[in-house]
Parts: sequence; structure tokens; C-alpha cells
Amino acid sequence: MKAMGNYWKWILPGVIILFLLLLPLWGSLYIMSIFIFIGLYGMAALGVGVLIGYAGQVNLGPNAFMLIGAYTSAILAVDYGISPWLGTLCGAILTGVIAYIIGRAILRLHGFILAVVTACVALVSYRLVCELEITRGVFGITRIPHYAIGGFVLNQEVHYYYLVLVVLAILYVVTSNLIKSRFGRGFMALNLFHGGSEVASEAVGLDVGKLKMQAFVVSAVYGSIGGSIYAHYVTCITPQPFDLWWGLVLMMMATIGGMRSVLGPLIGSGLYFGLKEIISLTGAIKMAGLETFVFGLIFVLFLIFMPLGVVQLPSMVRRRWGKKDVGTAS
Amino acid sequence: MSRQGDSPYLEFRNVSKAFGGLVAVNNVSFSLLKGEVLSIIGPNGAGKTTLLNLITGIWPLSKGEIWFKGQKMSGLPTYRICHLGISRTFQNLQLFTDLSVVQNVMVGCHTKAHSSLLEVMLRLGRARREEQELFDRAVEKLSLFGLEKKALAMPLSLPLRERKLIGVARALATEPELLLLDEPAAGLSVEEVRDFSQRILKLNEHGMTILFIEHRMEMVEGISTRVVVLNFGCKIAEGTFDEIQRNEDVVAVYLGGTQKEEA
Repeated sequence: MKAMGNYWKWILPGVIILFLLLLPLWGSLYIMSIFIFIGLYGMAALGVGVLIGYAGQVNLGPNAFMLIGAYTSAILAVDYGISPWLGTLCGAILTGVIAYIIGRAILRLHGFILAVVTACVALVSYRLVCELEITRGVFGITRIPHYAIGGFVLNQEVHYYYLVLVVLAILYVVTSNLIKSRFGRGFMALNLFHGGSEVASEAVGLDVGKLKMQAFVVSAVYGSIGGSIYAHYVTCITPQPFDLWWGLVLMMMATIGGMRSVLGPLIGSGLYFGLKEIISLTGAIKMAGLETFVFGLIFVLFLIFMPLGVVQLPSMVRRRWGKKDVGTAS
Repeated sequence: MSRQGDSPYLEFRNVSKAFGGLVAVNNVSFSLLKGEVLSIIGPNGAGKTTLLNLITGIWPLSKGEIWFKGQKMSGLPTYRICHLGISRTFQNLQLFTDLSVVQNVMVGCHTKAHSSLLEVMLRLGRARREEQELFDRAVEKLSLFGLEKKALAMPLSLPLRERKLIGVARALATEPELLLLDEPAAGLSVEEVRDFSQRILKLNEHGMTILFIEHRMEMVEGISTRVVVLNFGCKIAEGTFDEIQRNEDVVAVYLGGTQKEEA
């Protein structure tokens, strides 16, 4: 009976992984490009999950990290001829360092004030990119080179599809390791939104400031990687896809999917882009601006019925219809 | 472990703490010897919990100094004070309610592991080994109180007596030399207090120095080497339980009397 249960537990993930691996066999370029965007924003949303969901530190401007990653990698490749792979790494390091510096200054702040300050940081970085010479202002950077392995250039949808899939799989595993480690427990221990206590954490020897910083840096690096790959995938970037609206979208994704799980933010990203395409494909909404309204409405409904995100669904179903299961607390 | 002569282990030197105009702790001096069980008693609002928060650096001192093992300790951040070997429980427990019992205790072990964030994320050998060590260590602490079977339960599903013990186990996970307990007996039945006292005495026999705040006289009487009495932030008496019992000021405070109009 129990072995049977374990067996079933692997079926759904197995089917999903197989589906994702084989998708390019039948999926059109259009379908693949949607999945690529789901993955790219999913990386940043995953970072949001670590920072807000686990460590309980609000960052209203996670888009800033994507922006720094995208522009660093793009500028290095276009102006200095540096390999996109190296550029992506540089972007991640630079974003991590910037997050460290900003984090040192602001992570002592709490709750609402922290939220406002992070939004300001995102606004300032967006403004800077619009004004500076090196970033080409609002017209953005064009002709960004693709990634290449040896002489083989990754210039097709299917290449990027698998690249994003691999990177996402790595981030998924790495994040799961992190959450199950002492650092993950530390994050949850200081999370005021979920039964944590900073005072108790410090009293048992946790350096709370350092832990918050670590969550902030991890979250920043994830966003940066997503941003860099985005830049090399679309080959021309403007500031617009990294503005504050997208910061809110990233948080929406993480919340809808479930911030206190590793899978949740990725599901959230899928839901967002899926819904967006359905709305625009069916042409159901013709009035400009109404799309945003519908989005907002659907997400509010989601949160009312599943406040912990879509990942909550299986345990809800089990509680409602399934056998009595004691271990549903997590 | 034997007492190290009579040199003070923890020492309060003219410590005061004021919140705005309210003086919560007023020029208090006392010292604690290694291996002692010192209890701090006093009516509500006497400044007992404030005293613990001053030791653990949760609040800064207004005046005076606190010394620990011949080193000035006041002014250090809370987690550094913990690293010096002082750990505590809380009156309202402050367990991490979203973590399981064993995870709560494992948080206390955090600083006993040394693998870096990157090693942990890549799950390299050392990180994996240390994680197992932390788990074993936490279960060992829980088994001190017979709670190893509850390791995977959520704290809020357990009775108060067990939650209090988890709080102690979490504090012990930091491997302290001095354990501070904030009203450990509050809310427990008479038998439970007796049981709890026995466990505390046992810790003390194994070399733990203990400072605790308590209202329940049966616990104070049962286990304290010495007692310090506070009232309105001032130390009014200090001595063994018998001496305290015979002290007129203490009797007046507890049975009501001349000091009543000050309230």
C-alpha cells in the first residue's frame, strides 16, 4: 500500500518532466517562446520566493536584478566583445555585489519601510538605465549576440528552450538544497509572516542581518541570470520589460504559485504567461487596459481561495475528499 | 564540574535601564558564580524580564556594565552574546511555529556547522555530513527530555509542558554554559513543575549554570542556590531562600504592606 503511494508520487512529476523534454517535438516556435519567457521570469520569481516567501523580507523591486543582469551581459557583449557566457557570469556577480551593498544599508529596515525603499531602488535603477549613455537610454541595446558553444551558435527557439530548461532545473535543485539546509531553516526562523521571530533567532545565535543578506543576494543572482539570458535570447533590450510593473508581476507570480515552495513561483510564472496568451489569442478582450483588470481580478480570486498559492491545491483536495492524513501540516 | 573559586561568572555592575521616564531597572548589582542556580523573583513589573533582555543584549543598557567570564559583555549584539555561551528561553516561548520540533532545535545548532552557502546549495560532501550531524545533535537534545519521538511534530500540536521543554532544548542546542529561563513554570501544574525542576537540577548537576525568573515559589524553593529579589526595578534582597523568607522587606512586598501606596 505504502509502496504504491510512493510509486504514484513519482508519476505526475515524471509526466511533467517528460512533457517538457519532448515539447519541442510538436510545439511550434510560438509555444516554445512562451515557455522560454515562463522560464526566464520564473527564475526571477524563484528568487522572490526565497527572499519573501522563506526569509520574509519584502522586496518590491525584484525587476531591478533582472535589469542589472540583462544590461551588464548585453553591454559586455556588444561593446567589449566578451562572451555571453562570461557576461552572464559577470552580470550575476555584479548583481550579487550590488545586492550585498544595498542590502547592508537597507535590510535593517522592517516591513513597510523596507518595501518602500526597495521600490525606490528599482525606480532609481530603471531611471538610470533610461538616462545613461552607456545603456543607450530608452532606445535600448540592439544586436546583442547569441550564446555559442564552440562554433555552434544558439540562435533558434529550440536551443533557448533547452538552455532555459537546464538552467531552471539547476536552480530548482540548488534552491531545494538551500531550503532544506540550515540556511533555509534560518530564513524561516526569522520570517515574521510565518511564525518566526527575529529576537528568538538572534537569541539562539543566528546572525539575522547576515542571513537576510544571504537571502537577498541569492534572490538577486537568480533574477540576474534570468535577465542575462533574456537579453541574449531577444537580442535587443529596452528598459521597458524591467520596469516596476514587472517587479509587481514577479511578486504576483510567486504569490499565486506559492512562495513557500520551490515549485510555486515557476507554476505562477506559467499561469501568468498562459493566461496572458489565452486572453490575447482568443481576442476576448478588445478594450485596452481591460486585460490588466481581468488579470487583477483572477489573481485576487486565486488568493482568496488559495492564500498559500496553487501548490496548496493537492493538500486541499486531500483534506476535502481524500483519506484522513495526519501529515498535511507542511 | 566544580565551581571556579569565588570569582564572579556573570556580574551586574550598577545596571540601569530606563524606557523614557520609566526606570525599569534601577542601579542593580549582583553576581552569579559558576555552577549556581540563581533565581530572580519579584512582583509583576519588577523588571525581571527586562533584566534578561539586558543580559542577552536585546535592549541596550542605559547605565552600568554587564561582565561575563571576566569580559565586558554589554553592548554586544544578541547573537554574539549567544556565541559567548549564554542562551535563553522566552516567557511566551517564541518557538518557530512553521518549523517542526526537530527543526526548531536544529536552528539552535546553526552555528555548529561551517559549510558555506555555496557548498550547501551544491550539496557538497561537507554540507551533507554537517546537516546529518545537526539533525543527530538536535535529536540528542530532544532525548534529554524524552521528546525524541515528537521530533517531526509541529510545536503547536503539543501540550504546553512539552513546548516549554522544546524551548529549553533549542536553547541547549547552542551548547551554552549559562542558561537563562524566563518563567519556565508559568502555566504548569504542580506535578509538572516538580518534573521540570528535576530536569533543571539535572542540567545543573552536569555543570550548567542557571539563572531563572520565576513566580512559582515551589520551583524557586526547590532548586535555587541563591535568590535575588527585585521590586520596582531595585534589588531589595539577596541570599538563600531561607534568608529571603525571613527578610522583612521581601515579606512586605509579597504580603502587601508599607510599600503598597507607591504603586
